Amino acid sequence: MKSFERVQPKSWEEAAQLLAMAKERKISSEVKGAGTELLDRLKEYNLAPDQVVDLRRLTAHSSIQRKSSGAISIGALVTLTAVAEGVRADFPALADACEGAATPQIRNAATLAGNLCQRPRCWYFRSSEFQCLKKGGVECLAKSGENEFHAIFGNNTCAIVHPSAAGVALVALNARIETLATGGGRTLAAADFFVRPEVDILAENALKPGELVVEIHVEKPQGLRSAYRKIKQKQAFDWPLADAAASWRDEGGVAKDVRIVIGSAAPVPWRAKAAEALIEGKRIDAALAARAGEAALEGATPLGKNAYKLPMVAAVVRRTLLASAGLPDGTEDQG
Amino acid sequence: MAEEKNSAEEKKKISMKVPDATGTAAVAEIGLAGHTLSKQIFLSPGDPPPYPVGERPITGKHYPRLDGPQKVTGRAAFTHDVRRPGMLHARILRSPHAHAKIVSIDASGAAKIPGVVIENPAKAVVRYHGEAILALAAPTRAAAEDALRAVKVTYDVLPHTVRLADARKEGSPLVFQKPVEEKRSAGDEPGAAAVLPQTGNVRGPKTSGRGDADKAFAEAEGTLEVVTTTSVQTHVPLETHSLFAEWVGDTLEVQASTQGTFSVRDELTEVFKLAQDKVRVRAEFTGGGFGAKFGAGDYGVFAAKLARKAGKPVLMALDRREEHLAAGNRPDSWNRVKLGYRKDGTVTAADYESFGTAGVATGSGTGGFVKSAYGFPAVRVAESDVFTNLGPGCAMRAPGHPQGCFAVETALEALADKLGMDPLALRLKNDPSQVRQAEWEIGAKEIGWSRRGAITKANEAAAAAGSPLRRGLGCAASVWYTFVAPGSQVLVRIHRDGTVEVENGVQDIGGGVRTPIAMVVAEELGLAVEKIRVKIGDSRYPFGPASGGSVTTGSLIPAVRAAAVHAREKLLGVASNLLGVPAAEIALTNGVFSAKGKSAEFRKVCSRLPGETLVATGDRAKDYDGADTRIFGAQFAEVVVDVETGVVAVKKVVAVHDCGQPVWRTGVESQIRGGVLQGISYALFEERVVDERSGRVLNPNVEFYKILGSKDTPEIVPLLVDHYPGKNNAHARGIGEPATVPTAAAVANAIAHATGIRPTALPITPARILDALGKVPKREVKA
Repeated sequence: MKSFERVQPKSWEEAAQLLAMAKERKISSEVKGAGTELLDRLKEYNLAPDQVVDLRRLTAHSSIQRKSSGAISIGALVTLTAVAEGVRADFPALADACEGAATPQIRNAATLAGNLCQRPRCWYFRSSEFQCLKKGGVECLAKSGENEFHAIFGNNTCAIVHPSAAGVALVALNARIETLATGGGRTLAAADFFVRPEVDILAENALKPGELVVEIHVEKPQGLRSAYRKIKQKQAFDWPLADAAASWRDEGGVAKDVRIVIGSAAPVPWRAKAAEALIEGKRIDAALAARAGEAALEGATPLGKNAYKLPMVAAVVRRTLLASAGLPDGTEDQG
Repeated sequence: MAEEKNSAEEKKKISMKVPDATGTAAVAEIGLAGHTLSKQIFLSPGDPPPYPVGERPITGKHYPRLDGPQKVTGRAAFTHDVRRPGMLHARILRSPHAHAKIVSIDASGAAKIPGVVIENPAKAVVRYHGEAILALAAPTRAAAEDALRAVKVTYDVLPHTVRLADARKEGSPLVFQKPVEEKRSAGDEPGAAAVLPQTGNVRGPKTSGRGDADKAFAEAEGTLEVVTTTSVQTHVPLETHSLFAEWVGDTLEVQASTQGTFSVRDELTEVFKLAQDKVRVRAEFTGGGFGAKFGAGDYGVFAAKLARKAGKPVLMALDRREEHLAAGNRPDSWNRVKLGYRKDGTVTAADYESFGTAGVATGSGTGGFVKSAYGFPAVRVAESDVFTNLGPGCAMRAPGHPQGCFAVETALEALADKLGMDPLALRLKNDPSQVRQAEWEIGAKEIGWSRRGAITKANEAAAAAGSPLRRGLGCAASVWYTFVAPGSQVLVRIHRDGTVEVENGVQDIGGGVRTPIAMVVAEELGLAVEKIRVKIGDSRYPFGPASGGSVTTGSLIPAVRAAAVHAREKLLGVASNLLGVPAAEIALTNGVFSAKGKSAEFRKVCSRLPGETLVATGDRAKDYDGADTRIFGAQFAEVVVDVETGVVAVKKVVAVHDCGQPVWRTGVESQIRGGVLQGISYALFEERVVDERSGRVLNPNVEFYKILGSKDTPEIVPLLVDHYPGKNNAHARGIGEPATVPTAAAVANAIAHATGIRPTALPITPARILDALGKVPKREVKA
């Protein structure tokens, strides 16, 4: 990788200023949390920043705060391991999404904000030998190329899948993402944080240059139920082929405010709105969950080599819904 | 019964055949324990008679790995760990194109970077993504990386071909304009490279076989044909290919991550026109090789040239990407196997055809298994290499055999299905090997094969109940061969203070060869294993084998034992003088020489050595005519398949193998476990993905080149038959390769049992399973 200057600001405000100044000084900057994902791109020479602003040692926004309502605020620098341990009782979808990511070593270092802001794993995007649409090229090379791990929804422009499992859970939980910038911060719904390639081909989220994620807020409405499930080819250190998170409020046995989000299937965490509508106001059982799994495929446009994801998405949505309702899904292995 | 008869004939033949007329006659017990036959053999001069049947105090038992603590604490120094003052780091500039003419190379930008030296062989054409163009070295690795990117190369991109099926077609872009000579390495099966026809990108077919296949098929009561395919598997050793070079005076000093201390030395002496004592190669620890690390390699020659040019030591360590692109692989394959059979399940004929691509190299044939594994009376094989614009294949753990095993064992499974036979019963019927018959029996019991019918019923019940999980059992045979690397020589040196050293230049590629060497010597000298100092991995020591073809133990251990026996004889002479008792009457156990109520400690006897040291050597005698040269094995797998997602969980693998008399049981079991893990990974995960349009490999990493991990690891039960092959004084033979041959096929057959689909393509991905189950829509789903 190309040499760069590592800058360690004393505060988040200083970090934001460093980024703003870099823009004025016309030097390129990257932001580093744990750096687990940044390092990959630096080594591949996909990035050659002049400076890396290292947030890792900051103490603010590095813990989980709990309110009496049960709502939580998770600091940007909280590790995936700490998130998984800290939210299990109240938000199993988020706990499972974080706990199943990558490897223990990576989870012990990687931060939640870094996870949300990571770049896609598309092999055309990651290789410095290809100039794909997302890197300013003229076409998405995956659409007509090797696309077995690519999107089956929303893939008309660019066929990446968003790599954040935590993002899938957070969209399902209707989380809000708070940011900081020299011009003032803002709070975005998680669903608005992630942007489709049609909105910005060069980025996967709505952050402006120099804008930093500082907190992730999750409400806990009465009777909240949630679950996250995924399907992986390899059970150790592999990206999901399909994953899903569901959340709803249990109102006298029926599901209200249902949110079903599919991961590893679209350039953003993908709301399965037809499936949500099917479940809304009903009691979840095996037959309904299976129908919702099928309904979740609405709008799918699989590419040449990834139609196998369709039955997987149906299965993972069904299983996620059953898990959220505390029902068995038939995969309880007998040994 | 047939086995008995053959044995009697063999016995006659053996007593007639005298490997060395000056040898003394000895009687060896040969065969499976409980079924051994006495055979007369003629010992090579100086070679002790083979171990008699029965338990031995040290060899054949479990023992902790002697260098385990060094490895787990990071004290073992691998080539990647070498650092020297002033050392330069070398990197290689590699082609981003699958096929191109090199119009110009401008390295002036790199040359301006302080401390950079460049070795530019002025290559004119590149034939694969990742092919080396030039190498350079710089004071830091980062500086070398920057320097690489400062080299400007202009390419004239040429048409490429990267798919086996496409490259076979007429009119496909040609990888080579002229016929190609086959290159062979120490990891290949022995045999002269054939002169073969080359048409377009297809080189071959190479034909072989036995019996009258046409007649056998004409007489068969039925025929069955299957086509299978396998994907390119890369070796992915934990330590990438690496070589450290330093010129000391007129001597080239090298540390290499290699499977062949001496093959690296020989290649470098040849390249640099040096006498054999002017190149010293050390390879104390090698982080895996699996067949890809025999020579110095272009990277090693670059390192030595850069070191000479710079007048400084140079470390060349490939990165993971280069390792995938240019450091070797197991070729992919397309295999057609047709069986002729009788209705009782006897296979009477096999017609076998394979095409495979080793990229720009040769050696993709997969026909060995069909010829050797079973006793099919008539076999006809045609193997062809297909050139593509991809990195060269090379030897990889049992070359050709996991592919061939998958093809043949898939066909046998299909035949059992067709005939309504139990798959194991069909194999027993076609297996003339007494050793493997025993292995099938042991393995079937351990996996619980008798549950198979009940499992089938349970799967039907699960389907009726809407559960997605299906269980299955499968099996497959292994075959490999007892290759011997001749010329191994071992030196035992005993000092006056009782220190015992054993020297041999052999490298440890992870199998842990130090431990069995120490065990053999300790046993002969009546000492504890940890008292033996094993010195290996240096071309200044006596010659040792390259570790390929599962030859290390079988080639080396008999020489170790001979050297230890000779040392013991000399020590007994010293003890005889000391104790005043004839040497033949003295026992040496637990570090004490004793006879007739007199005794002397080992150290005491050593203190009376006539010289400062006692030196004894042992040579690897030629193989005695003994048992079958083939090594048989049988594996069983139990899987659970999720038929809604296509995800496979391997629950258990039982691996029954023949390792003759294992020297170090712990190491043998470890090799079997490793072979099984690599086999499961091959069955389910490993696949090199190539972009057709650019001809570039898309997954030269361990993220999307998927390798089995901790959670994908099943219970593995390694079991050994108690066998005395009688081919050398230790009944030693290899295990590294036999253990990986049948695993993928056994897993595939278990998946077939679980799901009713027959996997015919490796890896068996969730996508392929869902597709075979008819669950993947053929057209786009519209809202």
